[in-house]
Order: sequence, then C-alpha cells, then structure tokens
Amino acid sequence: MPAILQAPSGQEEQIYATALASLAGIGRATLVCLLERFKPSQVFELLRTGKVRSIDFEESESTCTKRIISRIRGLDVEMIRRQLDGLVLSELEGNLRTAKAGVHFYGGPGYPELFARDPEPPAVIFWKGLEELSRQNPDEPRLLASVLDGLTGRVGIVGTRNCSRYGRDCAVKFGYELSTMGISVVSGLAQGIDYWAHDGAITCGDATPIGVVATGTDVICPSSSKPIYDMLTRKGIVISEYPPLAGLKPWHFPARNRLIAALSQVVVVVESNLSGGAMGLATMSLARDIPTMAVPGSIFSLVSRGTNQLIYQGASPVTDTTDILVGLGLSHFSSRNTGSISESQSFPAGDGGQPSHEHDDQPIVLTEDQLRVLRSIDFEPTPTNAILNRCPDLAVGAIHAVLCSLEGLGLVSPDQGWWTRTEKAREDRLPIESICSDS
Amino acid sequence: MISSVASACLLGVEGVPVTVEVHVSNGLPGFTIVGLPDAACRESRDRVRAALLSSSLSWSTKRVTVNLAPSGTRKNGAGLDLAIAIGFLVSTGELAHHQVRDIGFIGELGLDGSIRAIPGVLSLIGATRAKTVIVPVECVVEASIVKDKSVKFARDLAELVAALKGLRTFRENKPSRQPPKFPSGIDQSSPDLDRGYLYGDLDEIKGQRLGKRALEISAAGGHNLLMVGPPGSGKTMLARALVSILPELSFDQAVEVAKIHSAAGYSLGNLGRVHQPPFRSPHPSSSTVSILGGGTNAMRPGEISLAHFGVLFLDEFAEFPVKVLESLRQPLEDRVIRVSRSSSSITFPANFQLVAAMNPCPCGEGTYSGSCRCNAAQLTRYARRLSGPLLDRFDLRVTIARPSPEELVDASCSESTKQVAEKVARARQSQLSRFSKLSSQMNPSEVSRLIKTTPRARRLLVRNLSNGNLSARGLARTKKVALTISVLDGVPGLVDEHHIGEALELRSGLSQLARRLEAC
Repeated sequence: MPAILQAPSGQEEQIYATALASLAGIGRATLVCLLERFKPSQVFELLRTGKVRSIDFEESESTCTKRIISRIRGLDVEMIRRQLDGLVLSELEGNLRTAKAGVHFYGGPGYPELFARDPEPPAVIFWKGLEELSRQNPDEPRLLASVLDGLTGRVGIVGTRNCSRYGRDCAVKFGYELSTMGISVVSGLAQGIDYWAHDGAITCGDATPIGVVATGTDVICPSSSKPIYDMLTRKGIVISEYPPLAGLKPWHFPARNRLIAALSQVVVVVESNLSGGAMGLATMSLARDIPTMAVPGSIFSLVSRGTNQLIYQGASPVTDTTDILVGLGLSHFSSRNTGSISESQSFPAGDGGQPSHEHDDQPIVLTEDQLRVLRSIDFEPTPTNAILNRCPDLAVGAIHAVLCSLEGLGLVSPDQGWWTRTEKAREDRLPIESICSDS
Repeated sequence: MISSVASACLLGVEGVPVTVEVHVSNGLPGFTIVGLPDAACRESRDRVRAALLSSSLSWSTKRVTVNLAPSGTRKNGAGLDLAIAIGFLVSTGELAHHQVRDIGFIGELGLDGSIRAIPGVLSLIGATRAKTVIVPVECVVEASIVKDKSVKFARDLAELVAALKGLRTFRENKPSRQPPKFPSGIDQSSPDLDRGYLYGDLDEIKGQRLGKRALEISAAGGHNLLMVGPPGSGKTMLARALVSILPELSFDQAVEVAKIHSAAGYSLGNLGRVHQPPFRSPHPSSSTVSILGGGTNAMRPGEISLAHFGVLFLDEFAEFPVKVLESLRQPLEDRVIRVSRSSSSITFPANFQLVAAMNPCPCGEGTYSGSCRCNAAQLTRYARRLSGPLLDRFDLRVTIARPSPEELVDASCSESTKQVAEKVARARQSQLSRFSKLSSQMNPSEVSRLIKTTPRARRLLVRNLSNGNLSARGLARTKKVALTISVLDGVPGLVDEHHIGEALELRSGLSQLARRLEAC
C-alpha cells in the first residue's frame, strides 16, 4: 500500500473510495460488487496488485451476477494499475476538502438506504450542502442518510432544457407550491425545466431541495445554474456520483437521471420531446415502480409531445399540485374529483421571479378597454401583433398603454413581445361587468 | 521659369487648399513631383505628359520640378493633374501668368487630354483659394450648388487652353440631363441602388400594426429602432419604408450630405444633391473601416457618415462582427466619428438613425413559435453577441411577428404613407420649434428640464423602476420616446401615463434577451 496517506483516522476509506470512483475501465456495478465484500482500501490494494482477478465469488442475485464476475475476471489490471500509481491520494484528499464534499461508498457507514435499495446503486456518492447542519455535526457520518430519511416527500421535477413559457410557469408553480408544503424537489440543475423547478423551490425555501449533477459537486455546469447551485448548497443538497473536479461526459446524463429516479417518490415530467433525457428518466422511474406523472400540453407544441405520449401510455396527468400530492399518497383529493382547481396557494406568476404572496382578495376592477384587450390575449403566448389585430378599432398607442396597465396589475406577463394571460386573469376571476370608460 | 496655380485635394470629406508650383529649368531632363504625393498623384507625371502631347501642346526636354504646397501634408488622388498641366504650360510660356491669375484648377487628365470627374468636387471647389474654379464638365451638376465662387467647366485640355487664351468662351453653367459619369474605378451602381428603387413604401406592407407604429414613432423622434422577428416577417420592408415617411432634407442638410457622398465617389443624381434622407444598408461582412470610415491613404467616409441625416439599416444585426457593432456605440452618442491614423486625424459627421433587424434566435423562429430548434447554449451565445450598452442605445425594441393569412389578403390599409408622413413632419416641426432638436437628441439635462410628466405618469415610472423593469439608464430613453408619442398625440411637452405606458411596451420587447445578457 502506498505510504502517501496521512489522513485523520476514519477518513482514509473515503479517500480510497474517491480514488476508486475516479478510475476509468472499471464500472459502477463491478465496484458495487467488490465494495459489498471489501473495504475501499482493500479494493484499492486488490486492484493495484492485480489479485482482483483471482478472487472466488459466490454468485448472488443482487450485485454479483455471472456477468459481473466474468467482467472482474477480464479486468484490464495493467491499465488500472497505471491509473492507481498515477494517483496522489493526498491530492484527492485536498480536492475533497476544497470541494467540501462528503463521501459515502456502498456498504459503508451513512450510505443512504434509498440508494442501497435501488436496483442500480451508485458505488460512491459525493454530496455537498446543508451548510448549517454540517457545521453543527462536522463528523456525523450518517448526516445525509438521516436528512434524506427525514424528508416529508421527494418529487422529481424534470423536463427539457428547451422549455416553453408554459413549461417554465408549470415548473415554477409546482416547485414553489411543493416547497411550501415541505416537499423536496429533486432535479438535475440543468437549464430549462430543471432550473425553473428549483427556482420556484428556493423562492419558498421551506423544504430541502435536492440537485443531482452530472459533474463533480464543485463543478457548476451550465454556469447559468450558479444562483440555484449556491442556494442548494446552503439550504439543500447537491449529489453526484463523480469525484470533485470531474468534468462532463455524455454518459453521465443517463446515470444522473437514474439517481434522480432513485431519489424520487414521484416523478413529474413537465415538458419533453418524444426522445430525450426526461423520457429516459420516465422509463427508469417506471421500471422502479415509482409513480410517473406528466403535465399535459398543447398537441401542437413540440416540447409537449413526450409528456402527452406518457399520458397516452398511462401516466397520470398533472393539472395541479394536489395531483402530485395524490401521487405521493399525501392527499386523496385530486383536482379531477373535486372538479375545480384548488385555490390553495398563489404561485409566482410572471417572470419566475418574486412570487406574490398576498392573496388577491380585492376584486379586479377593469375598464372596458382593459377587459377587451385582456380577452384578446390567450393563456398561451400571444404575439403583440395578434392582439393589435384582434382589437382593430383601438389605436395601437392605446392598446400599448392598456397592456402596460394590465402588466402592472399582474394579469398578463410579457416576454420578448409575446403576451400570456396569467392564472390571476382566469375568466371566473374577472368582473362580469366592466366599469365603463376611464376612472 | 516658375509658376504657381491654385488647386485642392481631399482629406476625408473636406477639401484642403493646395498650391501647385512648377519650376522648369535647364539641367538633366526629368520630371519630379515633391510634397508627399501618393501613388495616384505621382503617376500624374505620365498622364500630364501624354495629355499635353495629345492636345498638340509642347512638352519640354528640360528639368521640371513640381511642388505641392503645403509640402507637409499628404496629397492623394488624381485631382491635381489639371493644375500640374496648367502650371507646366505657364512655366514654359505657353500660357501667360495673367491668364491664370485667381483661377483654380481641379480635374483628372486622360491620356487623350480629356478632363475627367473626380470625387468630392463640391468640397474641393470650396477649398480652392481662387475666385474662379475650373472643374470637369462632368461635375456640372454637383458644382451647381456652389454659390460663392464662379465655376467654369472644361471638357478637355486643348479647349481649356483656348478658353484661357481668350480664343473661345467657357462652357455654360447649365446642368445636363445626363447623370454624371465617374471613372470606372468608382462604383456607379450602388448610389442608384441605395437611393431609388430600394426605397419601400408603407402602403406596400400588409398588417404589421405594431411595426408601423414603431416606425412612425422612430421617424418622428429620430429614435434608434431594433426589430426582432422570424425570417419573412417583413422587418426589411418596414425598415426600407422608413425613408418614405421621413421629411425631405433641408437645403443645408442636403449640401452637407452631398459633400460626403461626393467625397465617397457617389454620383448625386440629376439634381446635384441628395433630397431624400440617405438610406444605407451595408452587408454584415462589411469591415470596421468601411462602416466607420478611414483607410490608409485617402480617408474615406464610412457607412455611418454616408447615412448622415438619414438611416443606417443593419439587416441581420447579430451577424455583424462584434467588433463592428461595438464600434457603433461612440458615434451613436457623439453623432460624429473621429478617425485617427498615424498620419492624420479626421472628424466625419455621423448623425444617423440606426435601424437594425435580427432574428430572435439562430434558427430564426423564436422560442415561442413552437418550431425553434435552438438549444439553450446556442441561444446564450447568440444573445451574447449584443452587449448591454449596445442594446441600450435602441430606444425602440419591438418584436415583429409574421403577418397572419387574414392580414395578408386583407386589402384595407390603416393609414397611407402620405398620412403618416404628414404626421411625422408635423411632429418633427413641433419638436424643432419647441425644443430646437428632436427628442432622441436631447441630453440628460434637457430631458429633466424639458420633459414635463403628470403625477400619474411619474407613479408608473416609479413602479417600473422599483420592480426592476426599468433601469436608471432606460429611464431617460423611455421619457424621450414618451415625449415623441405625446408630440404625435398633439400634446407636446406634457407626458401622461399612457405615453409612458406605450414607451415602456415598445422598449421592453426584448426584456428576456436583455436579461439573458445580464446573466452571462
């Protein structure tokens, strides 16, 4: 065994586990099989000496199948040894410390039960976050496991990076409303739906959001996710299968999606193309018997084709947050049974920024022109030109002024010259009679 | 014998007086030009010699020295040919001193003795230190604007010498019907392309109420306009129609524009000046120098100067090199461009209105069309091409959508070009008489001094400032646009809530794009 290691006792195994996780040429399943029987330091030594190929295995159902055993027998020990000899363990230890990453390996103390139960458990996981709790219990190996066990519920909200305004609004709404109920949002910290779901979740901040990344926990990719990442490391958890400083590889994404599925009790696909990561994730969650739900969308929208397909195949449609609660088993009243959409929470309408917390008790008072312009706007993005054409007798200037006032009232939200009616401007919330003309 | 003849050469768009001194003496036969001539100018030796011989005039076998005074500044172009030839004739005694006294000569010589047009005649005539100036007959249209000097015309050297000797009369100062011709080196087709049938008409555009309103406000206040829309939505047609609703140039403006265009080598049409505001639309592949002006020898005005008092239209705005776009920021603020090279530094006028058109994303369709094929990284990269400060210089930023089928077949037109043009002209007149400038040209102190807002308008501004919709920088711009709208409404000087409202809507069209930029 190389005598480079001078870590505080109890930390050595973690560092050996980090070394194992950074190896190429040996897969997750093989490592899990080895870690089930040996400590990381022993696996390290077996690999370095090449003795790993001559271990006698008893075939078992779970981790040690015939395929794995034959793979261990055929390991390219020479290549692995070269990699191990090139590793400087003190460097790995330094990386772990700078990244403030916690390490748990399969079979080790504090390895979350959630993952251990999974058909494809990760060999080593790295995590970061829960700053306050970590500070209070710096040497608690079971911190992550206990926090994960203590969560009220975990809902994976996933979808395309290239989401529409509708998808974004849905992701923000569900993220925000689930968080107000103390339910954790699990997502992938990518752009699009992932971003907006966590954006909604952290504006509320009552729950512990979980982000699963496809790089090292200290690598922020894409960089636009930085604000979300920062909030997650403070209040939530960032989990990864890859050691600190690990870059992005294409095959990391399906693996990351598998972890999201493993972590979730319900998976909600907000928007997805017919093919794509989110659809793969839905397949994985169905394989794990995790309730998989989809948000219905327009049949004309490319990014709703996948979700509509999921619904066609039997996924429950999500039209409101209560539907997700039903999926979690926390509620028995779906929006479908009651026939009306619950008015429990107001959610951040508009640009995904600050949610309006105050309930709109006051009735909306609108002028005739305002009402006309408002009715010419759809709940889907409507281009300004279409609004102008639908009110041909109103002057362009007047319509612009009305749009500005409607925006001020929070009834419409603009983006790049497209207008969307917000939930606040639903027909049943509008006054039947407008007050005539200007006040 | 020594002689001295007045002429001028071009530096940027302005003329610089040049005195051509010719000294003929005994010695080894030779012909030297001194006084920092450029290549074209140095070659005039051969042109002058051939022209003199072709015109049955004498050529000497003596030593000839030509000095172009002041000797310290660079001379460029072939415009000094005629002056050198006349100076030579005076020095050899062919012409008498008194026959060329107080006469300046401008023109390029052909080998057959013909006198050819050169760019920038208008500026050159003004700069020549003489009461009478002889110019090529081809420049008769351009020269017709000159009021303070007597301008005479000549077709070829033999005819000119005869006229100077009093053997015949000079040609009359009467514009011909033929458009002036330029040497083949100068592009003749582009002026017609740029000033003529490329102009659009507002009547030709179906639907597009938003685009037309934006054009109207842009024309009335001189506001820079950015149009974002998918291909085929009519951005280019709208931009071209802008000229049709802009008022004609005043005489002084027309002369200034004519000088620049003449210096750049463009013909000025049959009237000798530019009446309609110029409309320039350079291709995205244009170099920085071609846009800003400059060059190694002759400093040539760039597109932004050619668009002086007119419109610079940059189609496919995001396809321009970032360096070119960023270089527009300073001239947009200062309305002049200072081009400095090691040899000289020149200020070109550049008081133009910028109109730009671009697609919302690389694939062109836009995020909300439902058929966008761009991923987030591509969108970010695309948005990053336009910097915040550059976007900030657009007072009006509108999204142009494809017209609906109903709009396309519907024959009814909201307002004719003529009606809009009248509204614009009235609004411009009202601004000029009240504030002595267009609202877009006001400086910050004038914005706060001259633009009066109602309390309701102020409340709206405060609300938008506090919720982050509006930046402090955007505030002044919004107020200026609101002022233009109020002037169009017929209530100049009092900006109300709905004026601010519309100004905000016309500015916020790109809020998402701007926000993406801030996130970068």
